[in-house]
Order: sequence, then C-alpha cells, then structure tokens
Amino acid sequence: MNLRIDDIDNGLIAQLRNGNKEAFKLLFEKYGIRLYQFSLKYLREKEDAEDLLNEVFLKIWENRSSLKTDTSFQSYLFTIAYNNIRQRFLQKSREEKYIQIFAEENLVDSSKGEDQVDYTQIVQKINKVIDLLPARRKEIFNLSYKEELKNHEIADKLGLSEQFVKNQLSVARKYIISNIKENNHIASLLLFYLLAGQDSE
Amino acid sequence: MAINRKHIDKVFGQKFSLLDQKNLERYFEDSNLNEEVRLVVKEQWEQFVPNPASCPNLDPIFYKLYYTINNREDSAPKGRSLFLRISQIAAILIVGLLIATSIYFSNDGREKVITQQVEFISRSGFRNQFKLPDGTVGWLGYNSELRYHVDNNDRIRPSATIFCKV
Repeated sequence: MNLRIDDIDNGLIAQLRNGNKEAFKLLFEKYGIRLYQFSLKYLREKEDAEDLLNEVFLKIWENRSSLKTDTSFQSYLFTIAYNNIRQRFLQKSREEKYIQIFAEENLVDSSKGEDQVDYTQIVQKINKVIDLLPARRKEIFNLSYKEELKNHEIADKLGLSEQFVKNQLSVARKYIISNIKENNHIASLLLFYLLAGQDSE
Repeated sequence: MAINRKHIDKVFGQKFSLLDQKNLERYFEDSNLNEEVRLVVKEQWEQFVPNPASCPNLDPIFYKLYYTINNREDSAPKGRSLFLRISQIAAILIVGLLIATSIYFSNDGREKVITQQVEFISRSGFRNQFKLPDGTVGWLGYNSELRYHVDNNDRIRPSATIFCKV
C-alpha cells in the first residue's frame, strides 16, 4: 500500500518538476489537511497553522526542480514542516514570555509547581483580563511584563513618578489574580491537571 | 541530557502545563537535543490521522498560494532561472558590442582634422632664419612674429610678412 502511495507521489512530483500546477494542487489537496491539523497541535492558533501551510508549500514550489522521486515526499514534507513548527513555536513562546513570568510569580503554588498550571488556559485568561485594565494601567503593565522595563524606566518613559508606577503595577497584579480566582479558573486549571495526572497513572 | 518525551506528547495532545511548554521550548532551543525531539515529532507525524470533518476549508490558502507563485518573478526553477540570467547578461553584452561597433564604423569615413599652430618669434635686434615643413627657407625680421597652422594636409596659413628664399 505504501509503495502505491509513493508511486502516486512520485508521479505527481515528476510532473511538478516540470512546473505542472495541477500536480502541485493535487499534492496540496492530498497533504494540506494533514499538515494543517498536525501543526495546529503545536501552534494552537489557526492563523499560525495557515501561515505554516502557505510557507511550506511555497517552499516546495520554489524547490520543485530539486525534488527527488526516489525518496519519500512525506519525509521531505515533514522536514520542512518540522523546521517551520520549531521556529514558530519558539517565536510564540518568546511572545508569551511575560505570561510565563507573571504565572510563575503570582499563580504557581511553589509546593505544587509549574506542572499544575494549564498553559493554554492561563494564556487565554491572562490576556483577556489584561484587556480589561484601564488604559494607563494596562500600558504600565505591558511595559513592565512585555517590554521588561524597570519601574524607573517606565516612570521616565511616561513622565510619571516611580512610586505611581509601582502602585499601578501592584493594583494590576491584584486585579488579574483576583479576577482569575473569582472565576475559579485556578481551581479548574489545577483540577484538570490532577485528573489528567490520575489518568496517566 | 536526554529529553523527556512526556512533555512533547502533552503539548502535542494540547493538554499541557507551563512546565511542559518550558521544557519543549528548551528542547527546541538546544541543538544537542534537537535531533531527539525531531525523531519524536516525526513519529507523531507518521502516526497522525487527520480528521477531514473538523478541518476548515483550505481553498483560500491554496488560491493565495497560487496567486503568489503566479506573480513571483523568480517563479522559474533555479536551473531555468540561472539560464535566464545568463541569457540576459549575454544579451546586454551583445547589444553593447553592436553599439560600440556601429559608433566605430560610423566615424570611420569622416575626415579627422587635427590642427596645430606653429609660432616663430623674432626679438628686437635679430633676424631669424626659419625653415618650413615643405623645405622653404625664409627670414623673419626683428620684432616680428610668424604664426601658421599645420593640418593633416600640410597646408600652411601664414599670418605675417616674411622673406622667403625662392
């Protein structure tokens, strides 16, 4: 069966090497859904998965003249996709670094550790609550956590006193934590992991 | 240091903790661990069964892709693109050569006039003898000047009174 799949792929690749766009379309239709759904598992956002799909197939088109028919197209597709997933995952993680820091400082119970926090939910929840902050407080919070500026640097940048910045950050932190707790998110997040842990054991 | 596959599988399963996220980030960043991670992800890829029912319509992505490849200047394969570039360079050289040749031949029939002025100056109290290119010998009185032009045809245009030996 695998041999037949490879034979079909080889036929399409031979045509693709000659610039046949119909063969390119057939390969996209054959592997597009698989690649999209697979990458979505690591990247979480459908926009990221769509961009990845676009980039991977564009690369295949650009390198079509060097495609080989004696090796598996699936392996070639995976190699391009893996590098793209890896880069995008790291980029996304850098963008979410402030959430990781905030969670570590304020939400992680030191006795239970980081394994008790549902990452996806905490990212969604913190982003949602940050958006509810008043404009000035939100700006100060973002400068502190996203831009990683010190209090005195934020004060200089915005023309405020350092004490004011410190107070605003304290109020913002309390608001975010209380908001999450009010909605019992921490409890549900922890419960989820306790259950997941029992399942795996 | 070896990787812990559990963290990768949990991220892939989309039910993962902050710890799993941080560990996978570390694995991806570390070039020594990367090959191990790649093998785990490859295994997931090979075993992965997509669900067409839960997939959005990917046609817009393909049309975007199709539009991009149709409008790219470098949409030709690399080999063909290199041939095209060499052809362009050759065409530029041939056109340059043709222009240079046509300029050269268009100037060839024209008379090239190169003129040169020759001066004889005689100071006070002396008379000077001079000899012209055609062999004519003459004398220039004192306080006199003789100027003439020599061109390719050796024509002489005197602009002073001279005494010549005939």
